[in-house]
Amino acid sequence: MKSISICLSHIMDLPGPIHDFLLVFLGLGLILGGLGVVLLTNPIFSAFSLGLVLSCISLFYILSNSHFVAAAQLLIYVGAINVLILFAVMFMNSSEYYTDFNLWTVGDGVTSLVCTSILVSLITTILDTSWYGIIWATKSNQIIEQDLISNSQQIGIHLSTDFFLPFELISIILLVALIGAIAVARQ
Amino acid sequence: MFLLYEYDLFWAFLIISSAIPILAFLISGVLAPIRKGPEKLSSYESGIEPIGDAWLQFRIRYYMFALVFVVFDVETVFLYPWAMSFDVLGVPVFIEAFIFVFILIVGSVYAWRKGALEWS
Repeated sequence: MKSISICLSHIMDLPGPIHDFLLVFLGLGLILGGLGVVLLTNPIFSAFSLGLVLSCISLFYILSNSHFVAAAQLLIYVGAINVLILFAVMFMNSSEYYTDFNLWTVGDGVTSLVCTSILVSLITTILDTSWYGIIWATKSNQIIEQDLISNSQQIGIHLSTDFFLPFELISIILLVALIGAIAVARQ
Repeated sequence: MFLLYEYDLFWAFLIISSAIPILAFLISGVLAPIRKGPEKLSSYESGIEPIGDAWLQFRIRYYMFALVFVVFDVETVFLYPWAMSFDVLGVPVFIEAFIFVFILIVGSVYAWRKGALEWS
């Protein structure tokens, strides 16, 4: 946890024990929310539980000192995408829930094996990577007065100068997504 | 105040905006008289007699609005860092953002003409 907490160094940091406590608390909220999404029978409750998971992720970003990503996560994921999922859930009639959970098929066994192996490989990869090395290697070519310019200003500067072409391509991707979604949903 | 002192105003706003509804409910719970009658238990429809059923069928146009909103919300999030760094950079950056918004205005006109924004 200590290595993750120093990942984006900044002038302002939380004291150690409070940081660890908030990490554990948010992690618990995340896991409980995830279990709620999967296990709750009413689909509207599980959509709200998904909102809880996305808000916990946003608070994780605040703990890691990336305030712009936290705000963007809250605006887009909770505010737009979760609302979209909620509307899609409200389309379904309540008579269409199926109520038998007790059948454990072969597909369930294969899926649980794959998911457990992905979890174990992720845990070992994260614990074995040297995060210090990556952070200090990418910090070398930054703007000189880094601590005087806030995070979102840096993002804006990089977006408009270094990443100008991806910025315009993003608008084309959004246009294609909009046209595709409207064309599909109109049927 | 204690943690994350950059967020002082935010914590103050959060505490005050949580306290005011709680106070409102407490005061009305203490002071309001409770008399039950048939008219008090019917649903409120802006003062007129309630017409029809309270539960309606969900319509597709609500979903279309949420869909269009997602795309334009993502566009807005991309405009925030541009706005924060606007005074440091110059006029070329303004032209770039103009191209960005213009391509999405084309999308907005498409959504408008295809009837995705019809409410009735």
